[in-house]
Amino acid sequence: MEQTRTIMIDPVTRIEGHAKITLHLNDQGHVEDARFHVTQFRGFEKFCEGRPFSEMPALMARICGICPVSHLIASAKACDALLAVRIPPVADKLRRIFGLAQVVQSHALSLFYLSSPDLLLGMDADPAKANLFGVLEKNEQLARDGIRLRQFGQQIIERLGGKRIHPAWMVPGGVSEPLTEANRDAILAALPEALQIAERSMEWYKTITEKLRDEITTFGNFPTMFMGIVKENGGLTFYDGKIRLGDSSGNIAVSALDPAKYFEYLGEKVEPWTYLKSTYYKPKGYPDGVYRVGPLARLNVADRCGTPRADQELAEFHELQRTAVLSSFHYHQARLIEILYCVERMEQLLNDPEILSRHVRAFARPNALEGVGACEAPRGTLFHHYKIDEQGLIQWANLIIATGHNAVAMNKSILQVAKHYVKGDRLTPGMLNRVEAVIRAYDPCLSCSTHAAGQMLLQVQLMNPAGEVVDEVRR
Amino acid sequence: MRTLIIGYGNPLRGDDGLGWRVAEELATHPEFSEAEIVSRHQLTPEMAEHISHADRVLFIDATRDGTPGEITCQPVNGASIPTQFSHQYSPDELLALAHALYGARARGFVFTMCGR
Repeated sequence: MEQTRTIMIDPVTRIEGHAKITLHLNDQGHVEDARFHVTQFRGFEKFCEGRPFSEMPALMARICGICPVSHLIASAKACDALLAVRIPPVADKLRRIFGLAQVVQSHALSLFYLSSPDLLLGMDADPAKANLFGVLEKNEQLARDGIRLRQFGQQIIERLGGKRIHPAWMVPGGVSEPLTEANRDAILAALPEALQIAERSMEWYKTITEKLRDEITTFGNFPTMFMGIVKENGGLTFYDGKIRLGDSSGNIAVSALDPAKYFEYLGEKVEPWTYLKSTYYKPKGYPDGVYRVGPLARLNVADRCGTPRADQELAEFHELQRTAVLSSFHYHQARLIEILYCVERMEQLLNDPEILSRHVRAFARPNALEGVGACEAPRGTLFHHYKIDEQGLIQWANLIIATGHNAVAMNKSILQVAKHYVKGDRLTPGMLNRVEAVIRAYDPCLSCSTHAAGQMLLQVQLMNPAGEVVDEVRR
Repeated sequence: MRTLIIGYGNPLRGDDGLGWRVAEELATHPEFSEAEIVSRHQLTPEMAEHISHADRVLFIDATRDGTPGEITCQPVNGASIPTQFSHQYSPDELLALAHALYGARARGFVFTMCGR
Protein backbone atom coordinates (compact mmCIF):
# COMPACT_ATOMS: atom_id res chain seq x y z
CA MET A 1 0.00 0.00 0.00
CA GLU A 2 1.34 3.39 -0.98
CA GLN A 3 2.23 5.52 2.02
CA THR A 4 2.02 9.28 2.19
CA ARG A 5 4.01 11.84 4.08
CA THR A 6 2.92 15.34 4.97
CA ILE A 7 4.80 18.60 4.88
CA MET A 8 3.12 21.30 6.94
CA ILE A 9 3.76 25.04 6.75
CA ASP A 10 2.36 26.61 9.91
CA PRO A 11 1.89 29.51 10.14
CA VAL A 12 2.03 30.94 6.62
CA THR A 13 4.06 34.15 6.82
CA ARG A 14 3.46 37.60 5.37
CA ILE A 15 -0.28 37.28 4.86
CA GLU A 16 -3.27 38.85 6.63
CA GLY A 17 -4.53 36.40 9.22
CA HIS A 18 -3.55 32.97 10.31
CA ALA A 19 -3.35 29.85 8.17
CA LYS A 20 -1.29 26.79 7.52
CA ILE A 21 -0.51 24.73 4.47
CA THR A 22 -0.14 20.98 4.36
CA LEU A 23 1.60 19.22 1.49
CA HIS A 24 0.96 15.52 1.17
CA LEU A 25 3.72 13.47 -0.41
CA ASN A 26 3.42 9.97 -1.81
CA ASP A 27 5.97 7.29 -1.24
CA GLN A 28 8.07 8.53 -4.14
CA GLY A 29 8.39 11.89 -2.41
CA HIS A 30 6.22 13.70 -4.98
CA VAL A 31 3.52 16.14 -3.89
CA GLU A 32 0.17 14.59 -4.58
CA ASP A 33 -2.14 16.91 -2.64
CA ALA A 34 -2.03 20.31 -0.93
CA ARG A 35 -4.40 22.16 1.35
CA PHE A 36 -4.74 25.69 2.59
CA HIS A 37 -6.18 25.58 6.11
CA VAL A 38 -7.75 28.63 7.69
CA THR A 39 -7.45 27.81 11.31
CA GLN A 40 -9.57 30.24 13.27
CA PHE A 41 -13.28 30.96 13.50
CA ARG A 42 -14.84 34.43 13.96
CA GLY A 43 -18.59 33.92 14.14
CA PHE A 44 -19.79 37.38 13.01
CA GLU A 45 -22.76 35.89 11.16
CA LYS A 46 -24.00 34.39 14.42
CA PHE A 47 -23.32 36.95 17.08
CA CYS A 48 -24.95 39.81 15.17
CA GLU A 49 -28.33 38.04 15.44
CA GLY A 50 -30.67 40.07 17.60
CA ARG A 51 -28.84 43.37 17.00
CA PRO A 52 -30.64 46.36 15.43
CA PHE A 53 -29.86 46.42 11.71
CA SER A 54 -28.68 50.05 12.02
CA GLU A 55 -25.72 48.79 14.04
CA MET A 56 -24.57 46.45 11.32
CA PRO A 57 -22.21 48.74 9.37
CA ALA A 58 -20.26 49.69 12.50
CA LEU A 59 -20.33 46.10 13.74
CA MET A 60 -19.29 44.56 10.44
CA ALA A 61 -16.42 47.01 10.03
CA ARG A 62 -14.85 45.24 13.01
CA ILE A 63 -14.42 42.11 10.95
CA CYS A 64 -11.17 43.47 9.60
CA GLY A 65 -8.60 46.16 10.31
CA ILE A 66 -7.34 46.17 6.72
CA CYS A 67 -10.54 46.37 4.71
CA PRO A 68 -13.19 47.71 7.13
CA VAL A 69 -14.38 50.19 4.50
CA SER A 70 -15.44 47.38 2.18
CA HIS A 71 -17.52 45.83 4.94
CA LEU A 72 -18.97 49.25 5.69
CA ILE A 73 -19.96 49.65 2.04
CA ALA A 74 -21.51 46.20 1.63
CA SER A 75 -23.27 46.45 4.98
CA ALA A 76 -24.57 49.97 4.34
CA LYS A 77 -25.88 48.87 0.95
CA ALA A 78 -27.66 45.91 2.55
CA CYS A 79 -29.22 48.33 5.04
CA ASP A 80 -30.18 50.69 2.20
CA ALA A 81 -32.09 47.73 0.75
CA LEU A 82 -33.83 47.14 4.08
CA LEU A 83 -34.89 50.79 4.11
CA ALA A 84 -35.75 50.53 0.41
CA VAL A 85 -34.18 53.94 -0.21
CA ARG A 86 -32.15 55.41 -3.02
CA ILE A 87 -29.32 57.29 -1.39
CA PRO A 88 -28.56 60.87 -2.50
CA PRO A 89 -26.24 61.06 -5.56
CA VAL A 90 -23.53 62.83 -3.58
CA ALA A 91 -23.60 60.14 -0.89
CA ASP A 92 -23.09 57.59 -3.67
CA LYS A 93 -20.02 59.50 -4.88
CA LEU A 94 -18.61 59.96 -1.39
CA ARG A 95 -18.96 56.26 -0.64
CA ARG A 96 -17.13 55.52 -3.88
CA ILE A 97 -14.25 57.83 -2.93
CA PHE A 98 -14.08 56.16 0.47
CA GLY A 99 -13.87 52.74 -1.18
CA LEU A 100 -11.26 53.83 -3.71
CA ALA A 101 -9.00 55.18 -0.97
CA GLN A 102 -9.23 51.90 0.80
CA VAL A 103 -8.29 49.95 -2.31
CA VAL A 104 -5.15 52.06 -2.65
CA GLN A 105 -4.00 51.49 0.92
CA SER A 106 -4.90 47.82 0.89
CA HIS A 107 -3.15 47.11 -2.41
CA ALA A 108 -0.12 49.04 -1.14
CA LEU A 109 -0.01 46.84 1.92
CA SER A 110 -0.13 43.68 -0.17
CA LEU A 111 2.42 44.66 -2.76
CA PHE A 112 4.94 46.70 -0.81
CA TYR A 113 4.68 45.29 2.69
CA LEU A 114 4.01 41.64 2.06
CA SER A 115 5.27 40.69 -1.41
CA SER A 116 8.03 43.17 -2.23
CA PRO A 117 10.79 41.15 -0.49
CA ASP A 118 10.07 38.25 -2.85
CA LEU A 119 9.68 40.40 -5.95
CA LEU A 120 12.73 42.56 -5.34
CA LEU A 121 15.15 40.10 -3.76
CA GLY A 122 13.97 36.91 -5.43
CA MET A 123 12.24 33.84 -4.11
CA ASP A 124 15.52 32.24 -3.02
CA ALA A 125 16.77 35.23 -1.09
CA ASP A 126 18.37 34.56 2.26
CA PRO A 127 15.40 34.56 4.67
CA ALA A 128 17.41 36.80 6.97
CA LYS A 129 17.36 39.41 4.21
CA ALA A 130 13.87 38.84 2.80
CA ASN A 131 12.38 41.60 4.89
CA LEU A 132 11.98 45.33 5.22
CA PHE A 133 15.66 46.04 5.60
CA GLY A 134 16.55 43.85 2.69
CA VAL A 135 14.17 45.96 0.61
CA LEU A 136 15.58 49.17 2.09
CA GLU A 137 19.13 48.17 1.25
CA LYS A 138 18.30 47.34 -2.35
CA ASN A 139 15.69 49.97 -3.14
CA GLU A 140 15.10 52.65 -0.53
CA GLN A 141 12.66 54.51 -2.77
CA LEU A 142 10.46 51.44 -3.03
CA ALA A 143 10.17 51.15 0.76
CA ARG A 144 9.32 54.84 1.11
CA ASP A 145 6.86 54.74 -1.77
CA GLY A 146 4.98 51.83 -0.23
CA ILE A 147 4.64 53.59 3.09
CA ARG A 148 3.63 56.84 1.41
CA LEU A 149 0.97 55.21 -0.73
CA ARG A 150 -0.55 53.43 2.22
CA GLN A 151 -0.48 56.64 4.21
CA PHE A 152 -2.17 58.46 1.32
CA GLY A 153 -5.12 56.05 1.32
CA GLN A 154 -5.43 56.05 5.07
CA GLN A 155 -5.37 59.82 5.31
CA ILE A 156 -8.29 60.08 2.90
CA ILE A 157 -10.20 57.54 4.96
CA GLU A 158 -9.48 59.58 8.06
CA ARG A 159 -10.53 62.85 6.41
CA LEU A 160 -13.83 61.37 5.30
CA GLY A 161 -14.58 58.90 8.06
CA GLY A 162 -12.99 60.47 11.12
CA LYS A 163 -10.47 57.68 11.73
CA ARG A 164 -8.27 55.31 9.73
CA ILE A 165 -9.46 52.01 11.10
CA HIS A 166 -13.14 51.15 11.63
CA PRO A 167 -14.50 54.57 10.62
CA ALA A 168 -18.21 54.90 11.34
CA TRP A 169 -19.09 57.51 8.71
CA MET A 170 -21.02 55.23 6.37
CA VAL A 171 -24.59 54.70 7.59
CA PRO A 172 -27.85 53.23 6.26
CA GLY A 173 -29.21 55.75 3.77
CA GLY A 174 -25.91 57.45 2.91
CA VAL A 175 -23.11 58.96 4.97
CA SER A 176 -23.26 60.83 8.25
CA GLU A 177 -21.42 64.01 7.25
CA PRO A 178 -20.85 65.92 3.99
CA LEU A 179 -17.39 66.52 2.59
CA THR A 180 -15.87 69.84 3.62
CA GLU A 181 -14.17 72.11 1.13
CA ALA A 182 -10.93 71.92 3.12
CA ASN A 183 -10.92 68.12 3.01
CA ARG A 184 -11.77 68.03 -0.67
CA ASP A 185 -8.92 70.42 -1.48
CA ALA A 186 -6.47 68.53 0.72
CA ILE A 187 -7.27 65.23 -0.98
CA LEU A 188 -7.01 66.78 -4.45
CA ALA A 189 -3.63 68.25 -3.52
CA ALA A 190 -2.33 64.79 -2.53
CA LEU A 191 -3.38 63.05 -5.74
CA PRO A 192 -0.46 64.05 -8.01
CA GLU A 193 2.11 62.56 -5.66
CA ALA A 194 0.09 59.35 -5.35
CA LEU A 195 -0.15 59.09 -9.13
CA GLN A 196 3.57 59.64 -9.46
CA ILE A 197 4.28 56.88 -6.94
CA ALA A 198 1.91 54.52 -8.74
CA GLU A 199 3.61 55.23 -12.07
CA ARG A 200 7.06 54.77 -10.58
CA SER A 201 6.03 51.51 -8.94
CA MET A 202 4.60 50.17 -12.19
CA GLU A 203 7.82 51.06 -13.96
CA TRP A 204 9.84 49.24 -11.29
CA TYR A 205 7.55 46.22 -11.34
CA LYS A 206 7.98 45.69 -15.07
CA THR A 207 11.76 45.52 -14.62
CA ILE A 208 11.61 42.58 -12.22
CA THR A 209 9.21 40.24 -13.99
CA GLU A 210 11.83 38.89 -16.41
CA LYS A 211 13.69 37.28 -13.51
CA LEU A 212 10.51 35.62 -12.31
CA ARG A 213 9.45 33.89 -15.56
CA ASP A 214 9.38 30.46 -13.95
CA GLU A 215 7.17 31.66 -11.12
CA ILE A 216 4.86 33.47 -13.53
CA THR A 217 4.39 30.23 -15.42
CA THR A 218 3.69 28.10 -12.35
CA PHE A 219 1.89 30.38 -9.88
CA GLY A 220 -1.75 29.47 -10.21
CA ASN A 221 -1.53 29.37 -13.99
CA PHE A 222 -4.55 27.29 -14.96
CA PRO A 223 -7.98 27.85 -16.46
CA THR A 224 -10.77 29.10 -14.25
CA MET A 225 -13.66 31.48 -14.64
CA PHE A 226 -13.30 34.97 -13.25
CA MET A 227 -15.97 36.99 -11.48
CA GLY A 228 -16.42 40.67 -10.74
CA ILE A 229 -18.94 43.48 -10.56
CA VAL A 230 -18.91 45.77 -13.59
CA LYS A 231 -20.75 48.97 -14.47
CA GLU A 232 -23.61 48.97 -16.93
CA ASN A 233 -21.17 49.89 -19.69
CA GLY A 234 -18.83 47.05 -18.68
CA GLY A 235 -16.35 49.34 -16.95
CA LEU A 236 -14.33 48.60 -13.85
CA THR A 237 -16.03 49.52 -10.59
CA PHE A 238 -15.68 48.84 -6.89
CA TYR A 239 -19.03 50.15 -5.70
CA ASP A 240 -22.03 49.03 -7.71
CA GLY A 241 -23.12 47.24 -10.87
CA LYS A 242 -23.94 43.76 -12.15
CA ILE A 243 -22.04 40.52 -11.70
CA ARG A 244 -20.13 39.27 -14.72
CA LEU A 245 -18.31 35.99 -15.15
CA GLY A 246 -15.64 35.53 -17.79
CA ASP A 247 -14.19 32.24 -19.00
CA SER A 248 -10.55 31.29 -19.30
CA SER A 249 -10.49 32.13 -23.00
CA GLY A 250 -11.24 35.73 -22.26
CA ASN A 251 -14.89 35.65 -23.31
CA ILE A 252 -17.84 36.81 -21.26
CA ALA A 253 -19.55 33.65 -20.01
CA VAL A 254 -22.40 35.19 -18.02
CA SER A 255 -23.32 38.81 -17.56
CA ALA A 256 -25.80 41.16 -15.92
CA LEU A 257 -26.42 38.92 -12.91
CA ASP A 258 -28.15 40.66 -10.02
CA PRO A 259 -25.83 40.69 -6.99
CA ALA A 260 -28.90 40.64 -4.74
CA LYS A 261 -29.70 37.18 -6.10
CA TYR A 262 -26.19 35.77 -5.59
CA PHE A 263 -27.58 32.64 -3.94
CA GLU A 264 -29.20 31.59 -7.22
CA TYR A 265 -25.85 31.20 -8.98
CA LEU A 266 -23.24 30.87 -6.21
CA GLY A 267 -23.00 27.95 -3.81
CA GLU A 268 -21.00 27.64 -0.59
CA LYS A 269 -19.21 24.47 0.41
CA VAL A 270 -17.84 23.62 3.84
CA GLU A 271 -14.73 21.43 3.93
CA PRO A 272 -13.80 19.65 7.17
CA TRP A 273 -10.18 20.86 7.20
CA THR A 274 -10.72 24.60 7.14
CA TYR A 275 -12.99 27.30 8.56
CA LEU A 276 -12.94 29.12 5.22
CA LYS A 277 -16.04 28.26 3.17
CA SER A 278 -15.41 27.69 -0.54
CA THR A 279 -17.78 29.21 -3.08
CA TYR A 280 -18.47 27.91 -6.57
CA TYR A 281 -20.56 28.74 -9.62
CA LYS A 282 -23.64 26.56 -9.17
CA PRO A 283 -24.38 25.63 -12.81
CA LYS A 284 -20.97 23.93 -12.99
CA GLY A 285 -21.11 22.34 -9.52
CA TYR A 286 -18.32 21.90 -6.98
CA PRO A 287 -15.38 21.97 -7.54
CA ASP A 288 -15.66 22.43 -11.34
CA GLY A 289 -17.40 25.75 -10.76
CA VAL A 290 -14.16 27.28 -9.50
CA TYR A 291 -13.67 30.96 -10.27
CA ARG A 292 -11.33 33.67 -9.09
CA VAL A 293 -12.10 37.18 -7.84
CA GLY A 294 -10.02 40.23 -7.03
CA PRO A 295 -7.73 42.41 -9.15
CA LEU A 296 -6.85 39.74 -11.72
CA ALA A 297 -10.49 38.76 -12.14
CA ARG A 298 -11.78 42.32 -12.31
CA LEU A 299 -9.37 43.22 -15.09
CA ASN A 300 -10.28 40.03 -16.95
CA VAL A 301 -14.03 40.73 -16.90
CA ALA A 302 -14.11 44.52 -17.27
CA ASP A 303 -14.12 46.02 -20.77
CA ARG A 304 -12.22 49.08 -19.63
CA CYS A 305 -11.08 50.96 -16.55
CA GLY A 306 -12.46 54.28 -17.73
CA THR A 307 -9.48 56.43 -16.74
CA PRO A 308 -6.62 57.24 -19.12
CA ARG A 309 -3.48 55.85 -17.52
CA ALA A 310 -5.19 52.78 -16.13
CA ASP A 311 -6.66 52.00 -19.54
CA GLN A 312 -3.24 52.25 -21.16
CA GLU A 313 -1.89 49.76 -18.67
CA LEU A 314 -4.94 47.54 -19.05
CA ALA A 315 -4.33 47.25 -22.79
CA GLU A 316 -0.78 46.13 -22.09
CA PHE A 317 -1.99 43.78 -19.35
CA HIS A 318 -4.29 41.95 -21.74
CA GLU A 319 -1.26 41.17 -23.91
CA LEU A 320 0.34 39.10 -21.14
CA GLN A 321 -1.47 35.96 -22.24
CA ARG A 322 -3.45 35.16 -25.40
CA THR A 323 -6.33 33.87 -23.30
CA ALA A 324 -7.69 35.62 -20.26
CA VAL A 325 -4.73 36.49 -18.04
CA LEU A 326 -4.58 33.24 -16.09
CA SER A 327 -1.42 33.23 -13.97
CA SER A 328 -2.14 34.32 -10.42
CA PHE A 329 1.28 35.94 -10.36
CA HIS A 330 -0.28 38.71 -12.40
CA TYR A 331 -2.43 39.71 -9.44
CA HIS A 332 0.51 41.94 -8.52
CA GLN A 333 0.42 43.88 -11.77
CA ALA A 334 -3.36 44.04 -11.65
CA ARG A 335 -3.09 45.67 -8.23
CA LEU A 336 -0.83 48.35 -9.59
CA ILE A 337 -3.25 49.06 -12.44
CA GLU A 338 -6.09 49.34 -9.96
CA ILE A 339 -4.09 51.77 -7.83
CA LEU A 340 -3.67 53.95 -10.93
CA TYR A 341 -7.40 53.69 -11.64
CA CYS A 342 -8.36 54.57 -8.08
CA VAL A 343 -6.23 57.71 -7.98
CA GLU A 344 -7.50 58.89 -11.38
CA ARG A 345 -11.10 58.08 -10.52
CA MET A 346 -10.92 59.91 -7.19
CA GLU A 347 -9.88 63.03 -9.04
CA GLN A 348 -12.89 62.74 -11.36
CA LEU A 349 -15.30 62.32 -8.44
CA LEU A 350 -13.80 65.09 -6.31
CA ASN A 351 -14.09 67.55 -9.18
CA ASP A 352 -17.82 66.94 -9.44
CA PRO A 353 -19.46 70.37 -8.88
CA GLU A 354 -21.97 68.84 -6.45
CA ILE A 355 -19.46 66.96 -4.30
CA LEU A 356 -19.77 69.41 -1.38
CA SER A 357 -23.58 69.12 -1.21
CA ARG A 358 -24.94 68.75 2.30
CA HIS A 359 -27.69 66.37 1.21
CA VAL A 360 -25.91 63.12 2.01
CA ARG A 361 -28.45 60.87 3.69
CA ALA A 362 -31.91 59.44 3.02
CA PHE A 363 -34.01 58.64 6.08
CA ALA A 364 -36.64 55.93 6.39
CA ARG A 365 -37.83 53.09 8.58
CA PRO A 366 -37.38 49.51 7.37
CA ASN A 367 -39.55 48.79 4.36
CA ALA A 368 -38.18 45.35 3.54
CA LEU A 369 -37.30 42.35 5.70
CA GLU A 370 -34.38 41.19 3.57
CA GLY A 371 -31.50 43.11 2.02
CA VAL A 372 -28.31 42.27 0.13
CA GLY A 373 -25.36 44.61 -0.33
CA ALA A 374 -22.48 43.79 -2.66
CA CYS A 375 -19.30 45.57 -3.63
CA GLU A 376 -15.78 44.88 -4.82
CA ALA A 377 -13.44 44.76 -1.85
CA PRO A 378 -9.72 45.00 -2.65
CA ARG A 379 -9.53 41.21 -2.65
CA GLY A 380 -12.72 40.55 -4.56
CA THR A 381 -16.50 40.49 -4.50
CA LEU A 382 -18.08 40.89 -1.09
CA PHE A 383 -21.69 40.10 -0.18
CA HIS A 384 -23.60 41.02 2.98
CA HIS A 385 -27.08 39.50 3.23
CA TYR A 386 -29.39 40.33 6.16
CA LYS A 387 -32.87 39.32 7.26
CA ILE A 388 -34.66 41.32 9.94
CA ASP A 389 -37.89 41.07 11.88
CA GLU A 390 -40.64 43.72 12.10
CA GLN A 391 -38.68 45.50 14.85
CA GLY A 392 -35.60 45.77 12.65
CA LEU A 393 -33.60 43.20 14.61
CA ILE A 394 -31.23 40.96 12.68
CA GLN A 395 -32.62 37.42 12.42
CA TRP A 396 -30.06 35.98 10.05
CA ALA A 397 -26.93 37.13 8.27
CA ASN A 398 -24.77 35.59 5.58
CA LEU A 399 -21.46 37.04 4.51
CA ILE A 400 -19.50 35.86 1.52
CA ILE A 401 -16.01 37.21 1.90
CA ALA A 402 -13.78 37.82 -1.09
CA THR A 403 -11.17 35.34 0.06
CA GLY A 404 -13.80 32.57 0.21
CA HIS A 405 -14.43 32.92 -3.53
CA ASN A 406 -10.72 32.22 -4.10
CA ALA A 407 -10.47 29.26 -1.71
CA VAL A 408 -10.67 26.54 -4.37
CA ALA A 409 -8.27 28.38 -6.68
CA MET A 410 -5.81 28.94 -3.84
CA ASN A 411 -5.74 25.24 -3.07
CA LYS A 412 -5.14 24.44 -6.74
CA SER A 413 -2.42 27.06 -6.88
CA ILE A 414 -0.58 25.66 -3.89
CA LEU A 415 -0.72 22.20 -5.43
CA GLN A 416 0.65 23.46 -8.72
CA VAL A 417 3.53 25.32 -7.11
CA ALA A 418 4.31 22.50 -4.71
CA LYS A 419 4.37 19.92 -7.49
CA HIS A 420 6.80 22.05 -9.43
CA TYR A 421 9.13 23.18 -6.66
CA VAL A 422 8.90 20.86 -3.65
CA LYS A 423 10.95 17.72 -3.89
CA GLY A 424 10.37 15.25 -1.08
CA ASP A 425 14.01 14.43 -0.50
CA ARG A 426 15.03 17.95 0.51
CA LEU A 427 13.28 21.02 1.88
CA THR A 428 14.71 24.43 1.18
CA PRO A 429 13.38 27.79 2.29
CA GLY A 430 13.10 28.80 -1.38
CA MET A 431 10.74 25.93 -2.16
CA LEU A 432 8.56 26.71 0.79
CA ASN A 433 8.70 30.44 0.20
CA ARG A 434 7.26 29.90 -3.26
CA VAL A 435 4.37 27.94 -1.80
CA GLU A 436 3.67 30.84 0.52
CA ALA A 437 4.28 33.40 -2.24
CA VAL A 438 1.52 32.02 -4.43
CA ILE A 439 -0.89 32.55 -1.54
CA ARG A 440 0.40 36.09 -1.11
CA ALA A 441 -0.39 36.76 -4.77
CA TYR A 442 -4.07 36.32 -3.90
CA ASP A 443 -3.63 38.64 -0.93
CA PRO A 444 -6.06 36.66 1.21
CA CYS A 445 -7.61 38.60 4.06
CA LEU A 446 -8.03 35.87 6.57
CA SER A 447 -8.76 38.50 9.22
CA CYS A 448 -12.17 38.68 7.57
CA SER A 449 -12.88 35.09 8.51
CA THR A 450 -10.27 34.54 11.19
CA HIS A 451 -8.63 36.46 13.93
CA ALA A 452 -5.03 37.37 13.12
CA ALA A 453 -2.89 35.78 15.79
CA GLY A 454 0.34 33.93 16.33
CA GLN A 455 3.96 34.64 15.64
CA MET A 456 5.29 35.19 12.15
CA LEU A 457 7.43 32.08 12.13
CA LEU A 458 7.69 29.50 9.44
CA GLN A 459 7.79 26.01 10.75
CA VAL A 460 7.69 23.07 8.44
CA GLN A 461 7.41 19.56 9.68
CA LEU A 462 7.85 16.48 7.53
CA MET A 463 5.86 13.71 9.11
CA ASN A 464 5.67 10.02 8.32
CA PRO A 465 2.30 8.26 8.17
CA ALA A 466 2.67 7.42 11.85
CA GLY A 467 2.70 11.14 12.66
CA GLU A 468 6.35 11.21 13.69
CA VAL A 469 8.42 14.23 12.74
CA VAL A 470 11.23 13.02 10.48
CA ASP A 471 12.46 16.45 9.38
CA GLU A 472 11.85 20.02 10.44
CA VAL A 473 12.65 23.48 9.11
CA ARG A 474 12.24 26.68 11.06
CA ARG A 475 12.81 30.31 10.21
CA MET B 1 10.59 71.81 19.99
CA ARG B 2 8.02 69.92 17.93
CA THR B 3 6.30 67.34 20.11
CA LEU B 4 4.18 64.49 18.82
CA ILE B 5 2.00 62.62 21.32
CA ILE B 6 0.68 59.24 20.22
CA GLY B 7 -1.93 57.51 22.35
CA TYR B 8 -2.63 54.02 21.06
CA GLY B 9 -4.76 51.01 21.86
CA ASN B 10 -8.23 49.64 21.18
CA PRO B 11 -10.95 51.81 22.75
CA LEU B 12 -13.40 48.91 22.48
CA ARG B 13 -11.32 46.64 24.70
CA GLY B 14 -11.51 48.08 28.18
CA ASP B 15 -8.18 49.19 29.61
CA ASP B 16 -6.45 48.56 26.30
CA GLY B 17 -8.00 51.82 25.14
CA LEU B 18 -6.17 53.82 27.79
CA GLY B 19 -3.65 55.38 25.44
CA TRP B 20 -6.40 56.43 23.04
CA ARG B 21 -8.49 58.00 25.84
CA VAL B 22 -5.52 59.82 27.37
CA ALA B 23 -4.65 61.33 24.01
CA GLU B 24 -8.22 62.51 23.56
CA GLU B 25 -8.17 64.06 27.06
CA LEU B 26 -4.82 65.77 26.52
CA ALA B 27 -6.13 67.34 23.32
CA THR B 28 -8.66 69.29 25.42
CA HIS B 29 -6.03 70.82 27.70
CA PRO B 30 -4.51 74.20 26.70
CA GLU B 31 -1.10 73.23 28.13
CA PHE B 32 -0.74 70.76 25.27
CA SER B 33 -1.95 73.05 22.53
CA GLU B 34 1.53 73.27 21.00
CA ALA B 35 1.86 69.51 20.67
CA GLU B 36 0.40 67.42 17.90
CA ILE B 37 -1.75 64.73 19.53
CA VAL B 38 -3.02 61.65 17.71
CA SER B 39 -4.93 58.53 18.71
CA ARG B 40 -4.25 55.26 16.90
CA HIS B 41 -5.20 51.61 17.26
CA GLN B 42 -1.65 50.46 16.60
CA LEU B 43 1.79 51.78 15.76
CA THR B 44 2.02 51.12 12.03
CA PRO B 45 4.90 51.71 9.59
CA GLU B 46 3.16 54.73 8.03
CA MET B 47 3.69 56.60 11.29
CA ALA B 48 7.45 56.61 10.69
CA GLU B 49 7.05 59.45 8.21
CA HIS B 50 4.89 61.38 10.64
CA ILE B 51 7.48 60.91 13.39
CA SER B 52 10.26 62.17 11.15
CA HIS B 53 8.81 65.69 11.45
CA ALA B 54 8.97 65.74 15.26
CA ASP B 55 11.80 66.48 17.69
CA ARG B 56 10.20 64.53 20.51
CA VAL B 57 7.67 61.68 20.51
CA LEU B 58 5.65 60.64 23.56
CA PHE B 59 3.95 57.24 23.31
CA ILE B 60 1.06 56.45 25.66
CA ASP B 61 -0.16 52.89 26.12
CA ALA B 62 -1.64 50.44 28.58
CA THR B 63 0.41 47.57 29.93
CA ARG B 64 -0.18 44.34 31.79
CA ASP B 65 3.07 44.61 33.70
CA GLY B 66 2.93 46.03 37.22
CA THR B 67 0.26 47.03 39.68
CA PRO B 68 -3.04 48.27 38.22
CA GLY B 69 -2.88 52.06 38.12
CA GLU B 70 0.90 52.18 38.23
CA ILE B 71 2.38 54.68 35.75
CA THR B 72 5.87 54.39 34.30
CA CYS B 73 7.96 56.40 31.90
CA GLN B 74 10.82 54.92 29.92
CA PRO B 75 13.06 56.46 27.26
CA VAL B 76 13.00 54.96 23.79
CA ASN B 77 16.22 54.96 21.79
CA GLY B 78 15.20 53.40 18.47
CA ALA B 79 17.69 50.56 18.63
CA SER B 80 15.37 47.67 17.72
CA ILE B 81 15.37 47.56 13.97
CA PRO B 82 12.20 45.84 12.72
CA THR B 83 12.80 43.23 10.06
CA GLN B 84 9.28 42.81 8.77
CA PHE B 85 6.65 45.15 7.56
CA SER B 86 3.93 44.56 10.07
CA HIS B 87 0.68 45.98 11.35
CA GLN B 88 2.17 46.65 14.70
CA TYR B 89 5.51 47.97 15.85
CA SER B 90 6.82 48.80 19.29
CA PRO B 91 7.77 52.42 19.97
CA ASP B 92 11.42 51.42 19.74
CA GLU B 93 10.97 49.74 16.35
CA LEU B 94 8.97 52.64 15.00
CA LEU B 95 11.64 55.16 15.96
CA ALA B 96 14.26 52.91 14.38
CA LEU B 97 12.20 52.74 11.18
CA ALA B 98 11.80 56.52 11.14
CA HIS B 99 15.54 56.89 11.48
CA ALA B 100 16.36 54.34 8.78
CA LEU B 101 13.85 55.63 6.27
CA TYR B 102 13.85 59.37 6.90
CA GLY B 103 16.92 60.15 8.99
CA ALA B 104 14.65 61.11 11.89
CA ARG B 105 16.35 62.09 15.15
CA ALA B 106 13.34 62.35 17.46
CA ARG B 107 13.79 61.50 21.13
CA GLY B 108 11.17 59.13 22.41
CA PHE B 109 9.48 58.28 25.70
CA VAL B 110 6.87 55.67 26.53
CA PHE B 111 4.29 56.35 29.23
CA THR B 112 2.39 53.28 30.35
CA MET B 113 -0.26 52.62 32.92
CA CYS B 114 -0.94 49.12 34.13
CA GLY B 115 -4.51 48.06 33.43
CA ARG B 116 -6.66 45.29 34.85
